Amino acid sequence: MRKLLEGSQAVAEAVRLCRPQVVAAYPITPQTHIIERLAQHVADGELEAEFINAESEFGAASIVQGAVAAGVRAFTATASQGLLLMTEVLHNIAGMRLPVVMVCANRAVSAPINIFNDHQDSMALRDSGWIQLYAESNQEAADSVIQAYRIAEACELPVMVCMDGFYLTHSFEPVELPTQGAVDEFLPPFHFARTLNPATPMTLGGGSEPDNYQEYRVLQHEAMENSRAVIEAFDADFGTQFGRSWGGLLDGYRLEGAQTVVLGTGSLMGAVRDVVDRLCDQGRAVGALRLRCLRPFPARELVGRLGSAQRIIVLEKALSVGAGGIIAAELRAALQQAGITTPVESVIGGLGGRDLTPDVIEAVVRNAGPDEAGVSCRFAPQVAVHHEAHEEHEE
Amino acid sequence: MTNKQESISRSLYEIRFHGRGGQGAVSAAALLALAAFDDGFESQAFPKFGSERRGAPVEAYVRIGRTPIRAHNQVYTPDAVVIQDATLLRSEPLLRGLKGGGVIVLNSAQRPDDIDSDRDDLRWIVLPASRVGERLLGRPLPNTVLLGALAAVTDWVSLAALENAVTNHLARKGDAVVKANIEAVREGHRLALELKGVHYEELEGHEEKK
Amino acid sequence: MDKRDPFRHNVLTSGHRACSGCGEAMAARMVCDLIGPDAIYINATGCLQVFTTHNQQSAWQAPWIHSVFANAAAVASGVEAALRVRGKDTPVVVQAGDGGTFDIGLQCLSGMIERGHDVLFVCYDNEAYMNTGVQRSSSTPHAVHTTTSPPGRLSQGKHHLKKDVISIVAAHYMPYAATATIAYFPDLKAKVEKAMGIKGPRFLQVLSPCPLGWAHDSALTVTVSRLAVETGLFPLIELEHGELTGVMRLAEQKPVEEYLRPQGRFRHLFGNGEGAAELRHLQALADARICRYGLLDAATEWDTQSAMQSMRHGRGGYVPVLQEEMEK
Repeated sequence: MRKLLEGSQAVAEAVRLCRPQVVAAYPITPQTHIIERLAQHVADGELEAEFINAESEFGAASIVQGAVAAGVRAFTATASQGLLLMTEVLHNIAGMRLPVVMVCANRAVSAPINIFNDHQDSMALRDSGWIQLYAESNQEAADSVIQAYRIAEACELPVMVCMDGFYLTHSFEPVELPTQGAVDEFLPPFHFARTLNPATPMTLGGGSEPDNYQEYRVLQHEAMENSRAVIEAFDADFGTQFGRSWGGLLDGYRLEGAQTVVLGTGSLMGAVRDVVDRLCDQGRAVGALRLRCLRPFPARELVGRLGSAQRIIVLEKALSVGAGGIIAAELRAALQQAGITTPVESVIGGLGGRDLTPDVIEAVVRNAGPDEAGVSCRFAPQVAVHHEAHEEHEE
Repeated sequence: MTNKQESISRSLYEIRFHGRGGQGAVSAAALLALAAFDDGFESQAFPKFGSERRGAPVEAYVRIGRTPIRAHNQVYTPDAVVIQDATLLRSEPLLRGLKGGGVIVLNSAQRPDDIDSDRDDLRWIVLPASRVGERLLGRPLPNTVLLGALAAVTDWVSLAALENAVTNHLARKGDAVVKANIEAVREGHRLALELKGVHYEELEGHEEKK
Repeated sequence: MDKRDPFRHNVLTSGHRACSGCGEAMAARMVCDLIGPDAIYINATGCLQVFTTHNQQSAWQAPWIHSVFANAAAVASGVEAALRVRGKDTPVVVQAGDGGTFDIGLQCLSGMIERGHDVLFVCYDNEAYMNTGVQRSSSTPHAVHTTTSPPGRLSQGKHHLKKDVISIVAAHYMPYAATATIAYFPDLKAKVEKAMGIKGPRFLQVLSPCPLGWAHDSALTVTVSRLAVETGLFPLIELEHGELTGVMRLAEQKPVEEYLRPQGRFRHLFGNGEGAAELRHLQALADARICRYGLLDAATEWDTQSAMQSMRHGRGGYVPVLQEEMEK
């Protein structure tokens, strides 16, 4: 049954349905409602788990690392500075190939301190060895958590489910929560082969030298490359069982015949869809493509979906300072490698919670031209402030 | 669930709540969205604020529509504005973007004299919601009173659905709180019907009528 | 199936890559053998981790995990929580150096204790960052020469005092916190056994001389660790729920110079006037510790001499003195 749920609650319910046995967290806005809800579930006996109040995000990440290594499913969530404080441990979890699942309630990074949404935090962790799934809606965030555990445990790779702070975490939206029986059917019981156990003693996290370190990374990279098929298959499986799927790696909207395609990620794509409809109604051939999975980067799949576009606009909420758009750069490389010369316009917007309204997105689509040589990116305009009565767009 | 789909004329309504931290603007937005959802609509509610500070200006938004709501943007051109604290009128452009024929539900015990609007296309409902809240809830909380009033003047959500939303959303706070808030919703609804369509300039003597 | 090597019974086997005379290797072997292989060991980054798991080889015959430098106590918290929900009572043991305890790991350690995790945290205290080449830590004693607290025209080595970490730990209303050193194995054994019999967080600070960083002869590791106790610079004590419950009485107080002389890290203090002042300072620190813990007059069954003679008799220099005194 569909219910109107706050995004944090939807995600907390999804986590509960996955039956983690250890939940560790440290509060940070806008992640707090997720862990508060889980703490309540544990207090009410609705989730049989150890809820551990860590002394920092660094500690929280370390606790879930220990818990998973000791043989149980675990969960943590954070955002922004908290994610950055976890960084050292997150790399370590990935290098150890531990199937940890976490939620990042995406928030800007300081200075200046800002609690609102953008993608700078999780984007900074893109090379840490975590699979990264970005949700567009609360429903997708909840479903992605359930998928994430199955992906992580099948691939021995950690998965970060990224959901936009406030836009999703604090939004009430209709969400359909699966039943416990259905989730149990989709998600097998936790299994991890390299569990710490005195009967079969194993050394996890020992040293390595120049003659073999690289091979660890090669194997990790291969596992990431192979996880693309797993992510797609499990999303399709999820669709079969629950009647909803999220495109696997990429989620296209009105792409057929689209000459201009807007590529982006996360909750901003809802507004992009509205703009695509608006422009199509006006006879323009515009479509949208949502990058659901940033890591592994679906380069081949992107080329397949964007190959016939004449104009590509990448709209992203993170900035590689001094270089420009991150997704745009990776897309340019993918297209170039495939011999496609379509120019990619890199547009940065929505930083620190600045709202990317349909009007702003439309202006980006209408006004953009090919990048001048040497210009890495441009910035979305500030939202117009409406002081006057406004003509509605509706019929 | 009552189906009110036919009763609204447009495909999307947007409501903006203005209040101060602690007055329940965010809860009010959630309750309105829950009620609309209960009435069979798609709905969405979310706050603008981030840090939780008592007394600071807070905004919250609601969308009510016939089809799934995809955009997560703030509300810039609301169909209605709910103002929980009249002192905000001095510091914030609360009516910005309000559509023609838009509704303003204002918590005030007297005629507000700080309104800088020269617009004559708006519908004002002014009621002493804090005072009503104080009487019914024991605290000067205006939010559920104003929700009742909004439901009465717009007909976007049913009174029954609002009462359901209060019952479910506030269940954790106990039966007494739920009961008092249902009373508050009903009282707001009743007062607004009494005042329906009244421009604020005609509100002189409202207190005496009460 | 038990995959342990049936011909090796040490939890930490030989063949690892510690320096000759490494105090930490001795201490870890003692501690881990007392606990046994039916435990899960969590290691902070540091010498012990490096010399026992060199390049895909492991000297550990027990399940062992190393994550990063600062987080051993937090990883242990997660391991312990997982074992608890799985209904297992496998002991959980953290091993860390002084850097991973006094400095970078202190926050996670404090969190672990405050949350009451059933974990034994063992700090092998060699009083500096030895793994990276002898840099000063907050455990480094006053006036010690390290590469980042060098003596010079304006300096007599480390300016500051050794952090009193055992008091900080004990102040968490800690069920059990104790100091020990390799020179007094029976005492160390009694303390490990006592710790393993207690539920909740426990802490053991084991002074572990480092021939490289302390610049003493590799053959003198045990002697130096004994002198640290006999001079009063490193009191052997036990604290339960924050209260002092046991000390190792000094049969006689030796002058600090006997401890300092064999160590190159104090060499700059000898033969000059400013150094002499620091020597007096160090003697005063020893005297203060002796006074604070009553090391000369505590009524204990064992003292630093008889404990040595009782080496093979199991029990070391520990008796709960305060209780006896209170009864008097």
